[in-house]
This record gives sequence, C-alpha cells and structure tokens, in this order.
Amino acid sequence: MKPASEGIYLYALAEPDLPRHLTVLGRRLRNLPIGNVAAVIERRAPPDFTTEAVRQQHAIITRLTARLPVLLPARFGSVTDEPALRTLVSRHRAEILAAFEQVRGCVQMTVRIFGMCDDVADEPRSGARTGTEFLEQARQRSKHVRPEAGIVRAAMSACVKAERIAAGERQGLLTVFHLVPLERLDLYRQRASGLHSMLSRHVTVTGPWPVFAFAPELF
Amino acid sequence: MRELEAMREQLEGLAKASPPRWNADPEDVRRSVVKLVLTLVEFIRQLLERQAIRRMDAGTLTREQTEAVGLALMRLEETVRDLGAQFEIAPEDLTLDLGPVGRLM
Repeated sequence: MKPASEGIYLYALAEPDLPRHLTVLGRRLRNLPIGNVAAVIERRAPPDFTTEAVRQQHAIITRLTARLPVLLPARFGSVTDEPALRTLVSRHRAEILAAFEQVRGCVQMTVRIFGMCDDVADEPRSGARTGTEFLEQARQRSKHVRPEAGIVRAAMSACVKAERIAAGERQGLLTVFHLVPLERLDLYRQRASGLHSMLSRHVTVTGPWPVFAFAPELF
Repeated sequence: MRELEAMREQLEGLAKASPPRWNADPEDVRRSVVKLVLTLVEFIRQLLERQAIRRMDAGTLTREQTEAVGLALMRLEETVRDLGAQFEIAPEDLTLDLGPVGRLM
C-alpha cells in the first residue's frame, strides 16, 4: 500500500507523443495522458522545501526541455491527486494548447534591471472598501509599465516573440521575461549587450532557460 | 617594505576601531524584534498578493475567492501598519538590507 501522503507531483506539461516512462537524473517519471496533453509526473510524497530540492527540479526541467520539442514547466511544489490534475488540465486545455504553440522552438531569457526608482510603489494606496477593490488596485499598480521597460521593449522587440513583466516586484528591481525563438538567440544576445549603456543602470541578462514565465498557472 | 608598513598601519587601525556592541536597551530590543517580525509578515503578504494577482490574470479565482483573498490581504496590511505605528515603524522601514543582493522589499 502506498503511504497516505504520496500524491502526484507534476513537473511539466508536454505534447502527448511521449514514452510512458522517462528516467531523468535518476528519477522515474511517468507520462500521464490527459486528452491531448501529457502530464509529466512522479508518484511521490511532496518534496522538502530546500534549495537542493529546487535545484534538482530545475535540473530535471532543463533536461526535459532538451529532450522534448515543447514543454511547459509546472511550479515547484505542484502536488495534487489524479482526479484533481485531470480536472485542472481539462479546464485549462485551450490555454495549454495555445501555450504549446506559443513556446514551440523558443527559450526564455530574463532581463533584470536594478536600482530603479519606485514611483508607483511609493504612491499612497487609496482606501479600498472591499477585498476585490484592494486586489484590483494592487493589480493595476503591478501593470504599470515603467519607462525602463519601454526602452527594453524598443531595443529587443525584433528578436522577441513574447514579453512578460514580473508583477509587483520588490522595490528597485524590474524583471522582464522574453520568449525568444532559437534562431534569433544570437541576435538577442547581441542587442542585449547594449542594454546596460541604454539604461544607465545595472542590468543582468540570463538564459536560455526553460519557458517558466510563459507556462499557464494551473494551481 | 613599504607594503609591509602599510599593512601594519591597517592592522593597527582595525585594532583601534571599537568592536560592534549590542544595544541592550529593552525598549530598543522590543522595537527591533517587532520590526523584524513585521518585515517578514509583510514580505509573505506581498508574495501572496502577487500570487493572487497571477491567479486573477489566469482566471483561476472565482469572484468569491477574489473577495475573500483580497479582504484577508487588506486586513493583514492594515494590521501590519497599525502594529508598526504603535512602535513608530514606518511602512518604508519594513525591509532588510541583504548586502550585495540589495533590499528585501
């Protein structure tokens, strides 16, 4: 009998033509077909929330990304049971299939700009009367596009398929995620090397990564 | 020889510098502990707020859930501000200096 705490640990979603079992870095993963989506799972207890566990998952996702044409990574700690996973995937099927098409042949690059002024974060919050109003105001603040993001967009748009700006980051930091087609990666790197001088701020550009920021939120 | 002399002066300077001392004033200790606790609570509250916004964007929160989560986050923010005010801690002081990594929030 399986231990009561054992559930389904979701690593990623992929297209259905996968082998039934995959061994990655010594872990025996399974393909759980849910309609025309393959859930890459492992039957196991929830992981410990340690740096080592996060690193291991990152390494597994990186290996899977190298082996499969399309992969949407799940968040670290995505544990559920089979009926709940089937329901989630069915509910988000259209969004998942659209994401497969969007990320096909692409990688994620991440631009971080440090030392920003926080004009919006410092604004006093207008008194919300309901919880919905409170969250809606927070959402509006997080959507505010800072001038630096506009500069990055103008410089990089020719080599980027999609962009996502991290919502409500800690003060002084702006993170922009780019979805970059593999054939434009060299051009991307070339242009990204000029961002530091354009922005006059400390800028880091990292990647290529699996497309973490472009996977639908299931949980 | 000149380098050795410079190193000796540097070491003497370090030896003369007063060692860091712990401020044992009970009121100050209380305020510091409250500041640290409120900083961590506010940090977690902001993480939850971001996750809630992501879920709103993804359409995975019902209207009732949005209201309940928003209300909980709003009350938590009010509580953090009220407790901070009691100890004369301004909202912008709720952060930790993480050295080269920058500030926590």
